[in-house]
Amino acid sequence: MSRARQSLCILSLSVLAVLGWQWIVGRLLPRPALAESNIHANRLRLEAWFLDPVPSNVLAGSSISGRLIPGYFAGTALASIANLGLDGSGPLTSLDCVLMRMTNGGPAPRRVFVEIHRLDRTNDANDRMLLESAHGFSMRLAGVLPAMRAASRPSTVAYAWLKDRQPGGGTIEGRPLGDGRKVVGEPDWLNQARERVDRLQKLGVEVVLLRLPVGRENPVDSQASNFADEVAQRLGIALLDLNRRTAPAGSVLNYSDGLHLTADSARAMARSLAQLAP
Amino acid sequence: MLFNSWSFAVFLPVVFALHYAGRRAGWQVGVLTAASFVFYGWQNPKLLPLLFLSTLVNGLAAQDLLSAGRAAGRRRLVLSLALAFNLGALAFFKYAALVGHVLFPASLWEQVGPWLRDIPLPIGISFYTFQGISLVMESWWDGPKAGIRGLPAPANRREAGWFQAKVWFFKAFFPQLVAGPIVKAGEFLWQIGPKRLADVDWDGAVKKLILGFFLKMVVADNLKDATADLNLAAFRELPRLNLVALLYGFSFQILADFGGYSLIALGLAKLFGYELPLNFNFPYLSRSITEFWRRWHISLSTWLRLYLYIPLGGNRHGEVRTYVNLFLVMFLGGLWHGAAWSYAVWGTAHGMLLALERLCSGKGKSREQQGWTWLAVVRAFLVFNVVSALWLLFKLPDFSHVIEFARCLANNPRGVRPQPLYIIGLFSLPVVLWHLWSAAAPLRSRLSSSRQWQLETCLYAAILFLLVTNAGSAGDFIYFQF
Repeated sequence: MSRARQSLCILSLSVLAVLGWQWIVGRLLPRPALAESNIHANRLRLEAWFLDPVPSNVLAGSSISGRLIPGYFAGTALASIANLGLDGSGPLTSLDCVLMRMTNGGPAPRRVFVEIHRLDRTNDANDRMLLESAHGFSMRLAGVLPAMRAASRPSTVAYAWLKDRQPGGGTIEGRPLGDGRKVVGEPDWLNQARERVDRLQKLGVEVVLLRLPVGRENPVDSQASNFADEVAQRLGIALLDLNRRTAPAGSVLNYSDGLHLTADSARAMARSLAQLAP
Repeated sequence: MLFNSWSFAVFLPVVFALHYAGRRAGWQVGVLTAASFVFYGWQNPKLLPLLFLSTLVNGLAAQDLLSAGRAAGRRRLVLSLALAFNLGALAFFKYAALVGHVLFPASLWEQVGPWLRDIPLPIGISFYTFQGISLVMESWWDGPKAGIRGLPAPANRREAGWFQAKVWFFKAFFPQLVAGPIVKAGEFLWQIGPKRLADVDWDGAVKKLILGFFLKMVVADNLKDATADLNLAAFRELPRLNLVALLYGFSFQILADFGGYSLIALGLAKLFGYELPLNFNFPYLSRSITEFWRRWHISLSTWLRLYLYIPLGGNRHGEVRTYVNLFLVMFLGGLWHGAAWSYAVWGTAHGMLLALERLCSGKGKSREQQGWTWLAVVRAFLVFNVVSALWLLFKLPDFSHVIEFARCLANNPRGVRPQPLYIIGLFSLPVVLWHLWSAAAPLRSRLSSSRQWQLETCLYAAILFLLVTNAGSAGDFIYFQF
């Protein structure tokens, strides 16, 4: 056994370290809402959705809505909200996640906001992998051992801490733009969206289409754009167009990379959403 | 089956228990060989017949070459056929499309090109083919009189069965089957024998496994999230500082990925009572390209030296021939990595640098230094930068993309994207510290042995903690594609 003495010491020490860390992140540190990579940011959101109690509201969308982190809604009517704005994916994948939890016997949220940005993107191989990971072994393990959740990763905790302290500089000023697209015919994505919306409505969930400002969205300065109206009409759901509502007010939004809202702008947008939500 | 998969986490304890359930070498070799085929065919059993065929051909050839009373002509014929089979299989599965594209006229290429491009690349073919060649070559060199250590020529049918069982085990042993280290027959076969659970070097195995899995799952798998930007669409948009960081990031990623895999292989082999050769020896501490190749993928460079460079004449036939041999070996060594000219250029560039060093340092006399002076640090930094720049050919096999990257490096705007820099900085750090740990060995030796033991225990516990809490999303091993 002398040839295993050091191994046993290593294992014992690391078990103690994991348990200690689990206690620290559970009790002392704020839970990170941002991660250093898209994969882990998505993992944070999926774990919050699948492993935490079901909130009243869900934000289903792309990386654009992913910036409206739940903490920004604190103290508003939407304080109980899960953010399923998935980096590199789209609202259809997010809606699949919402339905996956509910069809597994979970309680339903009261309302789901479906972001229109990238709604016309159907699931690809990456999205399917993401959905598989949602009920994979790692997710179950993270449910049992919180130290293995994405929110407990030391590198993610450090990143979120640094990000919170990042000054607002280095941003690109943007202007909300219109969207000149039109729905042609009966596209596949629209049918898929309708099918998911119908299933949610049958479960008693209110579904609202949400349009958020996107920095470099189709450069057509058209307040008359009716793409979002048309989609909402064809899906038979209400539209909350924060792009149109914020633009005339002359509000200046900042984008960290010309596309995604900075923390300050995202916080302001979260407040607007909470105020204007039906 | 991947080492970093849940299925392997079940596979390993089952095989371990079965292996030590019997005390006879025959049982243990049988269990490990069968388990190795399960391991190899787990995701795609269609790949197994080629491995079976390769093992069969090399095993029969080795038996014939080691048998007494064979005429020289017959031995030469057997050797030629075995080598032709090994190289032919490698050429067909790996290089058919590349060779066809170069040799065939356009009209013929249009017809057969799609078919050749669709030939699947059996995983690990380069590794197990090289092991097969090693077996055959050693059988040829050592012959029936000397025999390969641990593989005497069989005298009867029973011994022939055990001979073949050993060969099949040598070729298939799962820790090193798909990505090395490339084990030579003479350094493995003598180890085959009954193994006892009480003899397992747990501390040695566990430390290698912890470090190997850490390098792969924490360092390489997290770095890959940032180095995914090393593609044309992404890097065109990045500031210059980020581009430089990407080069360094990939350099650390490829070492952590492959070095991690090799350490896992060594640790797994130890669990079953076998020693595999070291494959990486802190390569980024190298103070010359010559030294780099003594520290990087050691089993491949040793293989190339033994079975290619020396048979070609090595440095025994004058200066010009030596340089030609050096270029040829490095060109083929580069091409071994993949059927793309960028790999050949990568190998040739290393060959040119080796030749240049040889020219400058007085015909190959080693000027390696043992201690760390400021000059040695500067040289190590320069070598690291050259090696990192050349890795670009690995990551971007399309030349036009490499040129575009160089253009972006000169012309892209200043500024910084902090998120990828955070990932690259944070997850490159363990590789840097790992190298510093090695460089600081003289300092550590001043500590008492109990202090060293304590320090090492705490470090490995911290590494295991990070392995549990900070693993990246699982990715394939980079060297699997070779």
